[in-house]
Amino acid sequence: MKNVLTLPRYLSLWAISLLLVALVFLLCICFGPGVPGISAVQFGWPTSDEFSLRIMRILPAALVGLALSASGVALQALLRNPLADPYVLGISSGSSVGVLLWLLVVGPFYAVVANNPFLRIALKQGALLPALAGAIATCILVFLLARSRRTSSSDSLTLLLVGVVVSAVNGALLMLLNHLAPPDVRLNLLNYMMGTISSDVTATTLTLAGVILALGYFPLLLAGKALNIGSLSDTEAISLGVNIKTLRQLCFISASIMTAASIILSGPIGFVGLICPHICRSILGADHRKLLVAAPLAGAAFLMLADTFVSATGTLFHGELPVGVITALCGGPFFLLLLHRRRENGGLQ
Amino acid sequence: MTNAATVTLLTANSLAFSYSQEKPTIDGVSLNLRAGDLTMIVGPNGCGKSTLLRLLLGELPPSAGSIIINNTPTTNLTRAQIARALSIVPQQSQITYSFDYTVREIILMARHVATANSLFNIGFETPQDIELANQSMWLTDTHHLAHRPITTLSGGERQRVTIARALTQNTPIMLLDEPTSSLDLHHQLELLHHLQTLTQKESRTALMITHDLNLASTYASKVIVMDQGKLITQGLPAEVLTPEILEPVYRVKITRSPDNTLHFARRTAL
Repeated sequence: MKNVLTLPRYLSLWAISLLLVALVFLLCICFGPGVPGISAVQFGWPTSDEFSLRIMRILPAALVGLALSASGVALQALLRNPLADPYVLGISSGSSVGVLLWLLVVGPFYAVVANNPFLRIALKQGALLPALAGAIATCILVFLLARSRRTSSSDSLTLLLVGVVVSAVNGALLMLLNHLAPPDVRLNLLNYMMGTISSDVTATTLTLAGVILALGYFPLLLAGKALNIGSLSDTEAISLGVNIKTLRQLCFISASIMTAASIILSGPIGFVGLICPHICRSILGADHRKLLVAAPLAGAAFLMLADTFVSATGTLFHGELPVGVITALCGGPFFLLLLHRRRENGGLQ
Repeated sequence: MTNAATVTLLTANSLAFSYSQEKPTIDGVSLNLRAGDLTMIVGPNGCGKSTLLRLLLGELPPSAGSIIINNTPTTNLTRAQIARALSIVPQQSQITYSFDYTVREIILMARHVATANSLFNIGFETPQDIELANQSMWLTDTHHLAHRPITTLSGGERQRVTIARALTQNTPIMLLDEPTSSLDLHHQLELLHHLQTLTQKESRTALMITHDLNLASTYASKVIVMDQGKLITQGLPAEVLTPEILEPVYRVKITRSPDNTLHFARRTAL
């Protein structure tokens, strides 16, 4: 029967989504830059050098895509608005502010602990905590500002205004902190802000990001049905037996954790959390149990493709584009189209 | 339940609540909902009817008084336990949909309570869930809409979907906030007929807010009149729905024909 989720259907959805991700992964691992100085772009089964080079690009891209898309789904349910996304609402940049603040504070200590490998790793990976704090703080701020007291959902216009302002303030804070930072800690802010996946991701950072991401993602995955109910009004959610306060906290923490996981691997990358959930919604319907399987995996596939595109073109032209340029060029017009449609059907509710 | 009429399903003791400091919204309301009763609340706009329902649901915490469901104070019950005892049809104007769920998806959300005691439950639908949903869709004439996205439905159709969801929750206590406000005459009478059947034949209880006094006098087994946060009076429709009680509450002129039909006119200044 249509519109009914059974275990076999759920498992087939997983199988199909994972298969698609695996195919995209194969495509990306076979297509990409050769080892620097040896060859340009090529297509074919990679040599072991090429494999280890490309895998450290593809895996971070997949994790970031998964994190942003899953975070988008959580924020959309929390704010009861399909236009929400960690980038649009400034939660990604809020998390970046945390990281930069950390770099600024611990920067001087790098030289001091240079001889102690454990402390060096602790200092480097410790950026996760400020990333998380920045994301949670921004997330709560946006929630408090964007939600209307009366209807307990957020109208699109308020959401956008809040997002624009919070993003702008976070952008300014990033500029300011970067300006104050000693030259050896400074970021290439233009590239960073446009969304670049770090080229020097270590296996430790990748593992850490993966674990954190799983901590945010799996509880959300299990709460899919509660999320469906929570995306109705407060009165309905309560009457249908969902503890809305706990659910809200789960969404806050989950969305923030996953955004933070993406920020320790990359700059704020736009619109992935908007496009992927929306496309999956138009194919599978609004049920969050299905959406939480398909959208994050679609996000992983999308960002792997986009990043392989920039890394491949980077060797042909003068250096690489930030991958955020590609996602914003796809996502911006898409966002406007969505906004337009929502205005057409029943105003800006 | 051998003697259905004497079983009290919900008791509210001197409930009080206020949104602001100035004036209480609910002021010392006590009521009993007994199995078999179809109780209707009438009263002017802003008199606290909807707030009373939200208090009974537990969405708002009363500043004084207590609510007892199945001999247990609601403060000792979890949200899921309350949801297994009590369902609500919120006011139509309070419901907006941010996502395009289909009608069947919306209605099946009522079955979450059957299995879930925590948020973490994928909750695949069982054949019983689907059967209950189908029954409610037949009762509310929404079965032909099952696959339609909820946002493409008319106001009346949406209201029937909300009612179907509450029926699917299959609870002994039902609260309904103006459930007939968007319904055409046919569907109004169908709903009231079903509510009568559910309460009388299945020993449930329903508490319904309405502005239609003649509907209340025809279908209610008990009527509560509220004004300015207070419970003015309660009793059988014929005892309560009288010009003497209603005229000061509604500030209109009311006459009653021998068949108990009420007629209304503007009250002109004397």
